[in-house]
Amino acid sequence: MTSDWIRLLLLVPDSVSSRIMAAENETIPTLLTGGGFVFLAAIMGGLFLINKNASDGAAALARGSTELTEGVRQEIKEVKADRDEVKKQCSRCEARLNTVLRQLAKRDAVTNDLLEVLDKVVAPVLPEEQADAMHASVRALHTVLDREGFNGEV
Amino acid sequence: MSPRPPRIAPLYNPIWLTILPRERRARGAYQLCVMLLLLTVGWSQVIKGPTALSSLNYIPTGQAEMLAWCCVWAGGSGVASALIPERIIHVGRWQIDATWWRLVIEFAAHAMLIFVWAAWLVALLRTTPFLEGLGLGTGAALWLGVAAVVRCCQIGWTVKRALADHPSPAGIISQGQARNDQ
Repeated sequence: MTSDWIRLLLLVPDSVSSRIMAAENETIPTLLTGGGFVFLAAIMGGLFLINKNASDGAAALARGSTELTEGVRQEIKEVKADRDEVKKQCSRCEARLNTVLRQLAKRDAVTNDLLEVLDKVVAPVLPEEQADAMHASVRALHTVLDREGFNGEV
Repeated sequence: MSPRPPRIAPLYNPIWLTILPRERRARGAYQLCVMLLLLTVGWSQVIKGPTALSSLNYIPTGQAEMLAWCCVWAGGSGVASALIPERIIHVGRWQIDATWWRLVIEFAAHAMLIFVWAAWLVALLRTTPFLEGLGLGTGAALWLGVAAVVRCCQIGWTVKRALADHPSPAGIISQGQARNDQ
């Protein structure tokens, strides 16, 4: 084959070139077979590249989705912890409110007891002016107790 | 007349939506017409055989047929690569970036053409060696072979840019892209 190439590249007389033309030469089928292989290899390589590109894209998407999911999970965890803390504070505030309401009810009960005793026991035996004055005193006492935060416990 | 069913929204498939530089080189009149030349000449030789003064008369018939079929395949692939658009095509609900397929088929066609032009050159040189003068056929086969090599390099560079030179998210044109374009 090498000698063929040399003859092809040299100026040869017609008699010689006719001999060359008559000779069997495998250069052309070799080249064409190589071309066919290169064609198929390029197609297969291209498919590989397309697949690789798509796989890389899918992997990047999956990675991003995983990071996003993890981040959202963490956020949900933190929000749940905040919610639990607020719930605990709510419970404490509710208990305190109930205590205060109970204390107020007790204080009102003491005042009502005093007024009842005044009306039923003291008022019948006293003149009307003195009974009214004692009434006013008890109400003033209630106002003072209210202002001073008396909780009804004696 | 029944109401038309609601149109199904296309499935957003970002896996296939890739960033490839647009080339538009395959649509050049010269490249497209050379591909058409190969296709028509190849089919003609497959059907009618070599013309009277063709150098293919001086190579065995089997080799001439092989060369004709290679011309058909390479030319057909080249024409196909010129017809495939450089954009995302919609097949049903799928979106496919046809630029990849265009580049792959065009690369395959040109890689095959390197060998096809070499085979033509060998056939031509057997009747007209270089030192007897450079005819139209010999010159065309020689320089179109060079063009095929250059085109393969161009496509390889495009694919390299798409796969290896990732664009920076900091801007549309990053420093790396500007440097690679120089």
